[in-house]
Amino acid sequence: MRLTEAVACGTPGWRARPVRAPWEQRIVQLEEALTLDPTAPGADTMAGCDNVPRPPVSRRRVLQTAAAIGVTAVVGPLAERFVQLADAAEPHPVADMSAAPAGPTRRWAMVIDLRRCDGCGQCTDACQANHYLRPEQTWLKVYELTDASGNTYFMPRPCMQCENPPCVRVCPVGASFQTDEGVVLVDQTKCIGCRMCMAACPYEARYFNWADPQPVPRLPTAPSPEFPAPQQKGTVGKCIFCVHQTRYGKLPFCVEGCPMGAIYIGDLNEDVAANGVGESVRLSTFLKDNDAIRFKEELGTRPRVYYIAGHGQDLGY
Amino acid sequence: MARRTRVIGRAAATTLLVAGLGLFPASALADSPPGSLTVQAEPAPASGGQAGTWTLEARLTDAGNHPLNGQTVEFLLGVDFLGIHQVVVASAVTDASGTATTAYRPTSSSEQSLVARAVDSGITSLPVDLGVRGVPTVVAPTNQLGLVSALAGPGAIGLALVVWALLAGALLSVLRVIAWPRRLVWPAHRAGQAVGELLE
Amino acid sequence: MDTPTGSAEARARAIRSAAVRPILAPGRFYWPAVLGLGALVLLAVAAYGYQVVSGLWVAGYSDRAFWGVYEADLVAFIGVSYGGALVSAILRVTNARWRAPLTRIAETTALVSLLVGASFAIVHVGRPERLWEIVAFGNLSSPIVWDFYAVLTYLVATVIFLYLPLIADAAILRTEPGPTSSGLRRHLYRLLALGWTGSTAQRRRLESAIGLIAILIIPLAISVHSVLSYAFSMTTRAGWHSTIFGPYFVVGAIYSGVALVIVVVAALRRAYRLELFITPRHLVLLGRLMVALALGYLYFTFSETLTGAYSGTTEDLSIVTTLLAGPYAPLFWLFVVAGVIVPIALVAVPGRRALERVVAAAVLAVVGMWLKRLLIVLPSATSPLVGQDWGSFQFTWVPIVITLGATAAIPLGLLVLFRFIPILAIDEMEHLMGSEAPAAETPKKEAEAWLAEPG
Repeated sequence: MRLTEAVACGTPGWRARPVRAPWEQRIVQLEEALTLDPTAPGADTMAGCDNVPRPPVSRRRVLQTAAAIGVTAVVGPLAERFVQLADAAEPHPVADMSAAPAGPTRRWAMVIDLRRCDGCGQCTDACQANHYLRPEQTWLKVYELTDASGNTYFMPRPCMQCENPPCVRVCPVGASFQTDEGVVLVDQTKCIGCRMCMAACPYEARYFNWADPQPVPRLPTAPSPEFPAPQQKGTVGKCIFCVHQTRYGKLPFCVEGCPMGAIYIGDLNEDVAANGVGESVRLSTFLKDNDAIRFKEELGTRPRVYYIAGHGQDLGY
Repeated sequence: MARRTRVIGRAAATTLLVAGLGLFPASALADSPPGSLTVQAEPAPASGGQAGTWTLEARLTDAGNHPLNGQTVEFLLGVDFLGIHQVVVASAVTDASGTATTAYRPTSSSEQSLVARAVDSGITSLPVDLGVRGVPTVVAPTNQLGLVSALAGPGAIGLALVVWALLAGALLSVLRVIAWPRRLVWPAHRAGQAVGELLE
Repeated sequence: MDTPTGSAEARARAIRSAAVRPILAPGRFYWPAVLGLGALVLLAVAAYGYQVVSGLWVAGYSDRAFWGVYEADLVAFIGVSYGGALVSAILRVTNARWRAPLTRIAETTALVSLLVGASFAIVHVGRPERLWEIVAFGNLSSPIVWDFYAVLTYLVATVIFLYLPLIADAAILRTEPGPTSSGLRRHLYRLLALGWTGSTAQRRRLESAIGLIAILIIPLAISVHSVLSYAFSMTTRAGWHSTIFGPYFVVGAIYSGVALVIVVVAALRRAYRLELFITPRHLVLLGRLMVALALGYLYFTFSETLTGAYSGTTEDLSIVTTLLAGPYAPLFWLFVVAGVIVPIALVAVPGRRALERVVAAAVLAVVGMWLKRLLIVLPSATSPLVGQDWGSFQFTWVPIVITLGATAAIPLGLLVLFRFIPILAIDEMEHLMGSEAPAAETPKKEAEAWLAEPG
């Protein structure tokens, strides 16, 4: 089921699309996950610019899929994930970081297993829907690239949350800053919109609000660097490693939105990483055993995103 | 509001349905065969202190206290990360005496508390507390430019101040020699006198 | 050949009447020109207002084309202000006396174009109302902050450098019998002239101050365009991350600056009948300076291109390829031929009608250098850093109108300013040219007729 109505993509000033609240979306995601036929219409949730209107969610569909579950046995980890999703059917805590429980200081990192990524784009969809982004604002973007043997592979590219971030260095007003956990955030009340950070970022991971952002439903708190929704016109935005989620012990949206478990969120201090299908690993051995590398390592940015290549490819060409 | 209730009702119904099904296989695993598993940990000799390498030993026996050979034993570390409480940090296979041995270097920054778990049977040992915190493996590099980068900022500011001082000096020196018209000077002089009288 | 007049007094009178003619009787072209240019400027302001309300997307930007026309305009319009630095400062430091009739025009052009260029910093940001934060929260490691302080310092130095010689001129005008010493104008010149009496002590102090500022303004000018280039070269983007960018931008700025001075001087010379003082020789000499800088700029461009093509990374090579043989190739070769080689040929090849050739070369140079700044910004801004998909900048009407408005603002500013300040540096000319005759190639008949005119 598509979450959105048909839009004409790419035309400047396009009308905002109606957005469903995240908890509604969770229900729909749940139902989608239960759909067993991958070729059924609506099973493909790749964000795109087709103009096919989709019907809204119906009660009959829920009952049909529930019956399908009853027929085929559901194994433990998958069930546990459904429980997790259902538990999360509530508005995600936004912005009020002072209310978040204090925990150990993290050093956030991500591991993306390129062997598993199939380019479905659900990570991008989850991120865009939950942050109320326009379709061209792909904070996490999945590139389709060709390796040396001519085979296609997919590479999701979030913000690298560099330890030595060029974007922070060049911001004239200090609107881009780095938290002590290593996440680079943008204070959109300070940003003057000069786009120097976009010039400096070697990963093209920053996205500008060239027009008014789309309307968002009423949110409990004001926008903040930890949850910049709605965004401000004339300022820059980017992937924030979902600090508003992780602060409450939840996974980032892309991590839990990846059905292949290709995206892991991890802590270099705690030396553990977890993906969205319930797998957790010891981060240092996971990286070592799988020969994880970083993108554009030679630039000295010291990114916090590790890639597990698997096809003998160079990253990013 | 009604809509929200309706959707939560749907969510609850679906939750109950799948949870019921999901718990079934989990409950099946709860009935593990009798046996025992113990684990102990020793810091390896000359390993660089307690944060260095440890040796973990797990002894697996069956219900009749006979050692089990060739069983895979996993060692899990207690962590606190986004709802994850345990992560596998090592695994080893038991030998003829039922002992699985492995080396382990603490890298997690949390208190090191380990349990062993036999993979096949699922029995877990009591936790062993190493009494240390791990040292994360990642090291931040130092600023190699050091003094140069520290001086660059103040140096640039100093240079700018010198230039401004020269510009101001040139302008002011000209203005000083070319006297202000008396018409402008006199009101300032009078104002100064008036302020002086006020203060008295 | 005879000089039209033998007395220094007559010469001084001629200089003064020429200098105040634009103030008192600008001519029939004046108001139509001001109204026309003013309309263009207002149209640009309206376009900017539309952009502020709608967002920067109306200017053709997108995430894969985050910098474009406005950033090129910023560099170009600040670049053309370098003519003032060259003509006034460098020629003063090198004691080139022929600069005398040109200094006021060059300095005023520098000020006006610097202000117009700096205003593009307001136009290109997404949140112009927050620009004060650069001072309040300035991050000293940012090239934008360096830009701000460098341009500000250079602006202050340009204003002072324009004002100091103006003191003596204003003193002349406030006492000169005629309309300049009556009414509002008298108040203006009395204010500008302060207490200038022309005494030896004052003159000495003024000379040393002007000399100091002239020496200071040369490294300031170099620093401004170097720092502007650092906003590009401190990134790691192919095509920008080059060590040559500092000198590259400076030489390009002086080249375009001298070219603009030639165009402006030629236009004002014709409009305000300054042929007696600004002779073809002046323009030819400026033209030769321009050629020297053109050769320098060509050399830098060649060096950049060769390095990128010979042993550049994949990304460097893609930039070089797109410039030399790709979508940007027509513009690039147009710039090389029409913006550099043709101007060099027009000036360097001896022949008749030297003045017209120099002016034509200068016009080509100014336009060509604007194009070159666009060619510096666009390919690297639209090049892909991941994958192979290039972005593209959409040329909508908004940046075109604003650029045209900025181009109109320069002559508008000059026309307005020369209603208040004399177009020739009277005092400086009297002291530099002194007993020199007006230039030999001015035909006697023309000179006499000119001197006989009222005003």
